[in-house]
Amino acid sequence: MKGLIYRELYLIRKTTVTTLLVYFVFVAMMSLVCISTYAGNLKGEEGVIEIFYPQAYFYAACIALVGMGYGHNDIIQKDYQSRWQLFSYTLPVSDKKIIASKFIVRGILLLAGLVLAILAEVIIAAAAKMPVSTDHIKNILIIGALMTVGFSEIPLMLRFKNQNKAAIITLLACAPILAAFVYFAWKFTKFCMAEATRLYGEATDVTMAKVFEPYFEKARNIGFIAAPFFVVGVVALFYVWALKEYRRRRY
Amino acid sequence: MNDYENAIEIKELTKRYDGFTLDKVSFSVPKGSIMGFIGQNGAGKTTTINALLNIVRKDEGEIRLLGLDHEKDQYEAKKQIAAVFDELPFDDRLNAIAIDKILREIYEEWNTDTFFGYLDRFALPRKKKFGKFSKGMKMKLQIAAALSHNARLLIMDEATTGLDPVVRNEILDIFLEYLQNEEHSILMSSHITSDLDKIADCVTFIDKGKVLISGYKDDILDSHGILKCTKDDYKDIDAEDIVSARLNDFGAEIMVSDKASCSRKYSGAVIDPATLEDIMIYYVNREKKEWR
Repeated sequence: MKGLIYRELYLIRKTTVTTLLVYFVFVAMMSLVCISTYAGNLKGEEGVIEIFYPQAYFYAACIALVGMGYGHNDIIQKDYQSRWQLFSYTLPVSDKKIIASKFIVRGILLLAGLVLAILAEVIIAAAAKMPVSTDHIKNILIIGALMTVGFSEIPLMLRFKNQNKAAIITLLACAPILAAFVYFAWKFTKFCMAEATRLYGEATDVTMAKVFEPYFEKARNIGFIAAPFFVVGVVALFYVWALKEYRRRRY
Repeated sequence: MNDYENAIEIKELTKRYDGFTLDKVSFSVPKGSIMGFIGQNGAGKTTTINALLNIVRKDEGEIRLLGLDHEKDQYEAKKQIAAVFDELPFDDRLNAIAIDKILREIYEEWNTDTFFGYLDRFALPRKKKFGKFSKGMKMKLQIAAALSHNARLLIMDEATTGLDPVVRNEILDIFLEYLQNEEHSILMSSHITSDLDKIADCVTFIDKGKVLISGYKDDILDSHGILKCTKDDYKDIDAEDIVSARLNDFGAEIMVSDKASCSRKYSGAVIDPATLEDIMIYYVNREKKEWR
């Protein structure tokens, strides 16, 4: 299995290097902005760091987590094109190990993404002269857990052989969930506005944030406890599905 | 190590697709021999090989590879088998050094020295990406990889198709060298029959999913012949002696499957030896009986 893992990591090394470059440039830029709030042209500007710091780590985390997994997305399509997928059936390796190797690579990339995301938080916090936020780290870990949904790419690509087709099917399948999420967000915003007006007389960004914060805190705590179960469930489900697709032998 | 007489034994192999059926295919590849597996495009050669390698699931039949069941003992069998396809199954972004690192972790008996020895012999670069290799270089690389894990059975699907005669000859020499070890066997599918004329010990001919001929090449070539006669004489030939006949303005060229009997029966008729290509062409046209 080591050989299979090495092969996939070798094939994604270019996109991984590109992601690392983008990530470091982005983190450096964010850090410079943070530094400039006390030692540069943003010095004296009120509220900049309060607005900027909570967003900077989030975007850096997204770049790290999405970027690290991105290179792996089309690997199965390329394996079909290069006929490695066909050749893999001739190897003295069990179907389970072949599929497991793909999940291990995906797991390694996710872990690397998490490490980079946490590192970004540490760097940006240091640049902003603020303590590392455990809330931010919790958010990163929850985002990381949600990223395991991306593991569905493995069974989907084995089934459809083509990234575009798999993406369209995923979008179609996710459309109701997305619609439900948008509807929930709209309803929740309306609720926050109403509550802010009722409690503080007017609905501004600050008063709405006051209403929003306790709910967000609760959701984060629930998410943090649920995340390990979610990860195990999602990975197990996609592993079984991928194994089934691989065993179908679409030739 | 398990004992076996035939490196490959296929009995009544059936695989049904929409519009094509591999119909009760049976043949054996004796240990230490090279079997040519011939047939025109779409005859069922690749399907048979894919079923052998468990790339496609068979519907019926029994397959034994090196004395092992191809499904139950597939991992044990696959350790000792090398498959070579018509195209390199390695990503264009890889190079020979990376392939060595990958395959030495997969095959227990992988030998890096042997692999790089073949690369040197074939004058293949180690660091150049496969995307920049020519078709001949890719095939040589595939063969180098196939021969570097002490495989006892080499299964090749159209491996020499599309290669120039010089590279083909070079590769055929490698196969003959590989067969010096009596434990080694080769199944080689091809529609380039001239290659098999040179190196095959046995031949199986498949057409439309059915095996038409299977046996030792010399026996097949000895028993078949092309009887040449005039149009008038052609009318006197028994239909049961004719596989098929190629008619021209001057007479007929008839493929007969029992040359000895025909030469006695039609004394005076000229019966030329048949090549594998002749046999293939005449058998493919057997349903038409007469063709031009």
